[in-house]
Amino acid sequence: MHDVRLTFGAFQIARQLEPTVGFAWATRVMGFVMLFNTAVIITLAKPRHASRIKGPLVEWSSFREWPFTLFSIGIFLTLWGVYFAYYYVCTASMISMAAHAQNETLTRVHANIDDHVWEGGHPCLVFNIAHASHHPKRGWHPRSSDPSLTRGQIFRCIQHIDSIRFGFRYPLALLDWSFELQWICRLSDRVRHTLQCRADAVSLDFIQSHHRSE
Amino acid sequence: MTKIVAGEPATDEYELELSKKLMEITEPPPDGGLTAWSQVLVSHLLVVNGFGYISSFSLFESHWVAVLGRSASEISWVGSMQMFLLFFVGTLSGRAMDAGFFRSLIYVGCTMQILGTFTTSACQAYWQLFLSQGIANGLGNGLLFTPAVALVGTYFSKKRALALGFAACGAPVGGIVFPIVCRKSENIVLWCI
Repeated sequence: MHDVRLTFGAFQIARQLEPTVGFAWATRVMGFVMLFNTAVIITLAKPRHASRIKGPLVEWSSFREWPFTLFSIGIFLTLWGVYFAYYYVCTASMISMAAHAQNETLTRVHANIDDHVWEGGHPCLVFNIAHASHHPKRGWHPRSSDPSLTRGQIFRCIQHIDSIRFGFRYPLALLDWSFELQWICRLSDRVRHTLQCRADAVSLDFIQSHHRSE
Repeated sequence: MTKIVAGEPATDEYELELSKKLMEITEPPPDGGLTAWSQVLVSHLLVVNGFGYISSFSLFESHWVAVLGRSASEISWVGSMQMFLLFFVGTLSGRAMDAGFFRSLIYVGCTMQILGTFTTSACQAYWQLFLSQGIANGLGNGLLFTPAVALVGTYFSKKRALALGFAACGAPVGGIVFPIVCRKSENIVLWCI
């Protein structure tokens, strides 16, 4: 009987220690992955830059360009909503999912994969690359960017679908949080949407006028 | 400081080096080639280590809520501090890169990032977690993020958006890789122990 109790006690301790020990080592493994990446970074990194000793710490004059200002406000509000999902998705999934599915949910959020899309093997990561490569403001280089309104609109739509999914679906549908948080998310999304559309229009006008002048 | 005039021969070694750099920067970006694309890889990996790791904070959130017995709101302050430092220190590190401290930023930033990650694995109290993951990792990310983006911009002109797109994809790639690594290694290491 004593042996059984001892065994049961040891089993309980092991069960309590299991996630802690496992997670500590899992974090260290992530650290080793980062260490490997760092070795590659230090080996390959080669700056192509002339030193600029003088000059202001922050170039405030950049905000005189309307597209830049609007884009800054837009991206501020975009990031405001994005990290709700990243931070709380595992906590939220603890409520409604099995333990093994929690990390998978996080992976899916990052890969931007919906359930039916996952089954079809069609990750939207590809769209993100394509979107980034065609969006003028990502590179902030109006001279060489594609000013095509149609293509810009298509990729903008994809981004809005992404951001709506990130900003609304995961934190609100899974967590069902307080009214205040929902209100902030909705407000920020509406303002961000309006500002980004405006920023798009202004920047496309800017690019087109620049091309015409050339 | 001696003023360098274009076309005039440089006398000092420092001046010679500086004039070489100035000549290099006046040349148009190569827009391709092995060196340029290897910098995209560098930037991509920096974003994997930075944003990829931060985006996986949900892993830590659920774990620390259970282990430290704190509320999700309290634990999320760690991630929020990490993110705040990334962007805030980024405004200063960009200027430091302009001033020619790229190598120093890389060394210090990577060291702090890795130090923060390894010390996170040994945390047993909330303040330790805040210090390691919130402050150390956040400062490391802040020192690296802006140089990572700016580095690609100096090598590309016409293909800059594409190159930056590939570099920025480090965030989702890291966000996919780290949870998978965590899930798999947790089981493997436990089995070994």
